[in-house]
Amino acid sequence: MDGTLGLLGGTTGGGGGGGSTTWSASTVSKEDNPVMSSEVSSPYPDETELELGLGLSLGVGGGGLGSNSKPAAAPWGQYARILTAKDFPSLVSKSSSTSSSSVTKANSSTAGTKRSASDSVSPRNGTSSQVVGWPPLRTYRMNSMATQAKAPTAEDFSSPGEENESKNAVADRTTSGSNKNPHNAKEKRFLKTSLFVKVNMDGVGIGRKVDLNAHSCYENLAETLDDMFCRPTTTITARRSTVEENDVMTEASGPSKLLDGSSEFVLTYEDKEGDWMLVGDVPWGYVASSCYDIYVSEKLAALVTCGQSE
Amino acid sequence: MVPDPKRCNSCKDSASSRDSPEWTRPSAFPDEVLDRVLSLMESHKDRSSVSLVCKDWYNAERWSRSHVFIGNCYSVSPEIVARRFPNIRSVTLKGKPRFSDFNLVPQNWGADICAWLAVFAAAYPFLEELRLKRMAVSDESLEFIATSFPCFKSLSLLSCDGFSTDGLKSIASHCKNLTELDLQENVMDDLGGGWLSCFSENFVTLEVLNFASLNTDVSFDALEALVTRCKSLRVLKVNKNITLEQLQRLLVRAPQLVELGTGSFQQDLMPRVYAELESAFNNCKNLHTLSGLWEANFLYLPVLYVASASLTFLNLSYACLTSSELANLVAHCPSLRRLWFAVIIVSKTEVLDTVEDKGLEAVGSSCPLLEELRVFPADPFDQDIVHGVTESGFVAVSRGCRRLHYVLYFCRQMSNAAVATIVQNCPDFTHFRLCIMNPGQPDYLTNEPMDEAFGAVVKTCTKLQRLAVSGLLTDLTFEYIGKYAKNLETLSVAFAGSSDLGMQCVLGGCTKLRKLEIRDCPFGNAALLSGLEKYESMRSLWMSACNVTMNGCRLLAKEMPRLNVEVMKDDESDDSQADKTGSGHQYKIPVMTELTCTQILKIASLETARK
Repeated sequence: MDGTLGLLGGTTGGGGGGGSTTWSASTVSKEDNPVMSSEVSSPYPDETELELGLGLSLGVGGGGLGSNSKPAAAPWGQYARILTAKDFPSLVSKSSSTSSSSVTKANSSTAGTKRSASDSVSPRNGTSSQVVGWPPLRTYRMNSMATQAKAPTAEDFSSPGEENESKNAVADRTTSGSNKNPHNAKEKRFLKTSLFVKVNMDGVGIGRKVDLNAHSCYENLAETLDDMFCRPTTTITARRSTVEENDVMTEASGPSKLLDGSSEFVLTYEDKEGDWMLVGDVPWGYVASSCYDIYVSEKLAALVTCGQSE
Repeated sequence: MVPDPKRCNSCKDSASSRDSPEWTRPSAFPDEVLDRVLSLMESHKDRSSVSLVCKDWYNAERWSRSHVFIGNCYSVSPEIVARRFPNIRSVTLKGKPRFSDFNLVPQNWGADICAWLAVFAAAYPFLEELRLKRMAVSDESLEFIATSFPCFKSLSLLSCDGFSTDGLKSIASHCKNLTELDLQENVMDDLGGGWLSCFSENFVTLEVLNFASLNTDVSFDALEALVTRCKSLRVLKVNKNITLEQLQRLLVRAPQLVELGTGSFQQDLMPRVYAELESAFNNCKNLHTLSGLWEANFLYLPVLYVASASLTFLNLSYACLTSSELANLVAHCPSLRRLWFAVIIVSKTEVLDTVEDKGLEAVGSSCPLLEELRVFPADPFDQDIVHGVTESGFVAVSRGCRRLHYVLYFCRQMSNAAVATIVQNCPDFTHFRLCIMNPGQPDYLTNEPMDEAFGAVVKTCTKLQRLAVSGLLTDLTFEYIGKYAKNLETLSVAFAGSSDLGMQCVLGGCTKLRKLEIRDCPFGNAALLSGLEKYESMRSLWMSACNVTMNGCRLLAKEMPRLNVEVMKDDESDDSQADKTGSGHQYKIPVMTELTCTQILKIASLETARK
């Protein structure tokens, strides 16, 4: 449980201030698959508790707020705390037992006149979260959005460091670095959690990672793999000579070249029993529901299971 | 016992004034014919019209009415209702102002059902149905209902507060003929799921069961047994603690369901579960409404495809689908009339600022029969995230769904041009509720106010009944509204307007206006008092964080003694307010009015009034 507070990654900024608090990036929640390679961790379980912890600490102890006598007591205090987090560079770790009490409090707050701690902060761009009763959404709906964070979903296996490396990461999230991470945490509550799997291509020494959950079908996955391995990057270029020796892959490949057999490469995967199976026979959902590593090799590609997701 | 000042205890029964001789005329119809016609008449508006014709018709109507609708519980006393309508079987009551949903109304404001129940128990022992919205309902009241009305059949509580699952136990234990238990978005204490087990084993009459908004577990065995023996069950909405496998078992028991609210729609993909679930849905031939779908994703959504061709209402607002999941799902729902969903942020690999619109584009192309669209924000408060739907999604839907007439749309950016296009595509809007989430935000393309957008709405949509405006708005918006929105009944305004003129235009121009709710606008006493003659024909007026003063309210109450004028004052200490508003106290003024109220002027904390 305490581990969840530490899981926001080393880049937790506590908001706009660029973050002076460092969190342990190596803490792994108990939901993590022990088979997972050590570089991945799961930063997102129990986010609601994490967020409430942030809110409480800001309201009571941290950052020098003026009138912070009502920590996260407004019905959307757990949302408003995101803004306060931005303005306060230090985050104090709080146990989640105090955070749970703010949940019940949030529901029973009295009149909309009750302001959360964030309200005494000068508004940033007139943000709506500092206005009581705005946007006009029923408490039930807003609480539902919060509690969905608790739902156990497949783990997100990207560590913060990896986020910065991955070409898939969205520019405006990674480039803003630590400033964005509280928002990342909150964003990712609503993100489909990612299933990153390793992709290795035969003849290419450096692997890639691809998010299975970002793809809704085989075609998308094949297209991404095409982009990764068949559009030469600096890294792959160095290896291309090896590839070219064995039936050069043309660059103008259609989205499903990897699937329709017209390319020199095929995708196969290794299922749980260790059998090699050609990709495409089973519904996409079957494949994407477990975590596999993808090995793209000439003539043969293997998806190797790296463990059962949640 | 201190009389509740809100109750019209001394109000003269207006009906008695109609006993004077000039009202008596021989009726043109024999009584039997009139009674027969009236028995077929259900709309309360029609019945009100009938009752105004003459005394005979008034009496015929009041004796034949079995359902009464009271839109504002402070507009009339329960005694008056009981005296006028002797044969009521069903009551719909609405209490608090709508802004209480957003915590703008203090706790313990009122709207307590118990006074009504006491009168009903005496006057309507055969009462069958209670539909309450924004009322305060205690466990004692629920027990009172359960034990006082032996024929009680139908209980619907929407956005109510004050009760717990203990109260539900009373209902389940005592209401032997219950057909409906519908709980939606109430603020209640969820003390545990034992209430469902209180239905007796002989109880078989249930037709509607909705406990989707409860948070704790119910006994699944009790639920399954209940569903099994209630063969007439047509609406079942479970809460998110019910798993997919449990859902499958319930569906097998109740393939006749017309409306289904699922529980959690996610678990690891297991082929057997998938196949059985798909088969269960395949057997539900009558399914028209689907909701719940918590945590649904691409893994199990396809099981719905077998049943989705007949769906007319799909509520995905708790499902948090990605755009592609939404697109795939609606592609299988060609009959869809109503769609609610919440925009979520998709995974990092997709382009973020327009992808949510793609879901809406899919809706536009897949659901030509769509009439109602509600798009909720998934993340209402994080301003830095540039996600969510934009105007282009809305435009896309309007292009494909020409029958659209009800929209509730939360977005982060909008332009006048887009709204003009939308209403040109869909001129039949009756309900247009646009919420640009940053208060006072202008047209993002031109940086101008959004006046022309809402001008286009009211000019083009002549049938408009309900309008909610947002964004940067000057008085021009309200001039347009007053001039063109002749059918407007409900108007919600926030952070808008430039002067009293705005509100004056609305009050002067919108002849059918019934409900006006205003917050954080620069409307003052002149505006408030300009509607003096108007308020008696309205159900309610709400003004908060405006420029109205106490004196203005006093004047209103003095000029219009039949209005119920209430001023609520913040009793927060100054230091929590001063920094934020800079002006100290805020006056919240819900002005509740209806036809027959006596003067009630309640001003709280007068001694600290500053103006």
